[in-house]
Amino acid sequence: MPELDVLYRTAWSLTRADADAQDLVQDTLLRAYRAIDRFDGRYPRAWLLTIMRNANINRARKKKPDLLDDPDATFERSIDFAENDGPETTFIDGEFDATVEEGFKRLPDKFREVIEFVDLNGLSYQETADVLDIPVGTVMSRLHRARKRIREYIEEVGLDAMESTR
Amino acid sequence: MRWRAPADMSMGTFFRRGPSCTEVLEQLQAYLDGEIEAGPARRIASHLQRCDSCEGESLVFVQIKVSLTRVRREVDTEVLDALAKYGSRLMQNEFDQA
Repeated sequence: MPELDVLYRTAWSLTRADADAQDLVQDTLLRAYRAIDRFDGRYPRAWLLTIMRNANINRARKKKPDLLDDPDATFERSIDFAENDGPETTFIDGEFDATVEEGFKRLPDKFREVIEFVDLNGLSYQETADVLDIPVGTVMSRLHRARKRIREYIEEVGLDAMESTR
Repeated sequence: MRWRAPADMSMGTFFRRGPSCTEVLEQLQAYLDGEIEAGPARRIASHLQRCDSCEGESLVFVQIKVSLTRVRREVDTEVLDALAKYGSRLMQNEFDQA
């Protein structure tokens, strides 16, 4: 089964919870299986990611009544990235890496998610645009601004990003 | 479905005299992300080989990109195995299609 790693990472980025991510991938695979006759054979990963986007929208709509019943419930996407990540899952190599990670975590949600999809999950600009249902230009703009902020944070804490390359 | 650089990105200049520093810096991140077509990408690479300033900028973003890959969450292989088995069962028609 190709691309499972990318599918799972993308699902986790969308849901922020292991169990929900697994459910979302299974839902995506099931929908893809049922729609296979309509697949033209080109760009399988993009096709699967589009299906995943729709499956996630459907999942969010079904969850809404639960949120209304429990006003204190926190939608998974608002869970801070750090709460679901522990030292056993993040490898930090040196001060530069730790600073980049901190800069990443400080990003506004919309900037952080494009970094997550492109740099962490390996999606293309088009695939990220398809999953998030936003224009490619918006992906590029947010990505570039996000990286600029990470760079500014590196310099703000006293690390010279240029010096670290020498 | 692949994104292509829009026509107004002055690709013509790439063919006439090679890109300027301004043009390279505008497209640097897309180039590092592998989103630039082969011809213009070669010209950007050639410029980076000749221009210390632009090469320095590219190295900063490469450092950040590489560092971010180390932020990647580790995926439990048991989860992937379970999903692979689920997919195999789908392919073998073990699910009700209703």
